[in-house]
Amino acid sequence: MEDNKILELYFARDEDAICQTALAYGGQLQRLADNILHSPQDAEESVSDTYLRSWNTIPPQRPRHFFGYLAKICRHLSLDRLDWQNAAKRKAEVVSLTQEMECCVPDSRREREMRARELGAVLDTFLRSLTPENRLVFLRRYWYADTIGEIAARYGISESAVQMRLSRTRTKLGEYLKKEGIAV
Amino acid sequence: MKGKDIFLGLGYIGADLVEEAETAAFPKKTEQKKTGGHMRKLIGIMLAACLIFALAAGAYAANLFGLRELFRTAHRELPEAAVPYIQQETAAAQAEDWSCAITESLSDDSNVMATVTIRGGDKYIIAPTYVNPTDSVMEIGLSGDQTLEEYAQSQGKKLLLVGARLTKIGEEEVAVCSEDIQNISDTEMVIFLEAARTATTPGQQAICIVYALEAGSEDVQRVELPFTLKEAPAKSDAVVYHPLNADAIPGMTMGDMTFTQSDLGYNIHMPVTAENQEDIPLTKIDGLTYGEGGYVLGDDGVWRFRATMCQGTLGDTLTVRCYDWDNQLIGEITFQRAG
Repeated sequence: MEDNKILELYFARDEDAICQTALAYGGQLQRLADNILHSPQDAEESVSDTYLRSWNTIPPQRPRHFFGYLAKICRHLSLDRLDWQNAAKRKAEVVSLTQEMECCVPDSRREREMRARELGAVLDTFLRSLTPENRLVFLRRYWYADTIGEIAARYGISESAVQMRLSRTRTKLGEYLKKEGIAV
Repeated sequence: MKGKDIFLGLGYIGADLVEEAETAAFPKKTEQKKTGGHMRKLIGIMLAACLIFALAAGAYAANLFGLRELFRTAHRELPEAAVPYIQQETAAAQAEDWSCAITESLSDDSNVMATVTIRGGDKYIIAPTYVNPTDSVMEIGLSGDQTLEEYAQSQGKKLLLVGARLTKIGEEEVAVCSEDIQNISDTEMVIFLEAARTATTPGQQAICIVYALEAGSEDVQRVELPFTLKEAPAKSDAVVYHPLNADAIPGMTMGDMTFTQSDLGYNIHMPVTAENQEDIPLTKIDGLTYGEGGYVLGDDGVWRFRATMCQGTLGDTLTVRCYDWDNQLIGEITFQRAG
């Protein structure tokens, strides 16, 4: 079913909206949540909560990019659910992903508090300045938490090419944040 | 702010970007292969001797993209004491319609670094080998909506995809060579190369291979650039540290740690035996900083910890800490200076 038709079900308060959402995007949401939580049960709960959150927010929301809307909710919920301490012990990929990001954090003498939402706006601008290929690879790695191998397979490129693109983009991000005066 | 903040901040980017990353594909690749399968040498370009030419004052004299700048992007500041040992313009070659040169090189008994500059002249736009001709011009630092091949055509030029690596140091084949690429302009690129060495003989030569593929062609051009190394001399005799608790890390036994020193810093070698190479840990040494250190498997089947150009002070004892890949401490080994 097309996104517009699914959204009409939400607006009509027809509970088939949830079924149709699950049919259309359930697998992708489950995979996203599992990449973060590394627990199928926890991931399933995150996805269920995503459906509930979408039911409670549509209407009045009418997202232009329906899957993106759902995926953002799912990611937020999964990260909220993530026990960062235990994640480290379980060798969760997401912990190593945040460590990869450490290299982007600049040493800035100017200090300024950034909330995640404001930082998101900065990151949004940065991402739109990238080439499409570098943006895709970066987001698959740090938004969707795909492995290097999965990204390479997805786009038919070598793992070293993935690593190179990620490395250069991280360097650019570090320089960009420094120019924006983002504090350590 | 920590990396985690950036990771969480990504949750607030536009939904269109999120959706694009789920649904969009890479642009279609063109037919040609970029490397492999059709490599061949252009016999007429193989150099028998080094060509050295003086450059007018300009970017190189200002060292805008020399070893110091590129080292900084890869690691940290190059020690000031190392600067006098940077050699300028030790090798160059003119290929068909493009040229390349070892613009700077630096070495000591454990490490060789070089910057290779590749120029496309009037015929070529230069881009790295890992891109496609249909990638955006932003890949080489330009703004706009054009692809690389569209841009090249608009300039009346062709696209040349280039790369380089160190392949030999003296008689030693180079197993691992790291590289970092910087486009200076659309017709010029600098590649920073770094490789380890284990045997040193005064006046040794190193060999850098520059390879290039014209977009639309299947023939990879290779240019060999031999250049002579002039090492930063050793500052002191090698210092050896013995492990007092060599088996502190489960599944591993640490060997003696050997330090050599030049004006570039300390170079560290330490053999280890490991039951499972998958469990080889991250290793840090208290009081020392280095850009990259890690374990390398030698041709003799022995794993060795290596770190080069380390900065810091050596005491009578050293503490080495090993971490798993989640940055959790596995154990500590105390090393005692010998003699």
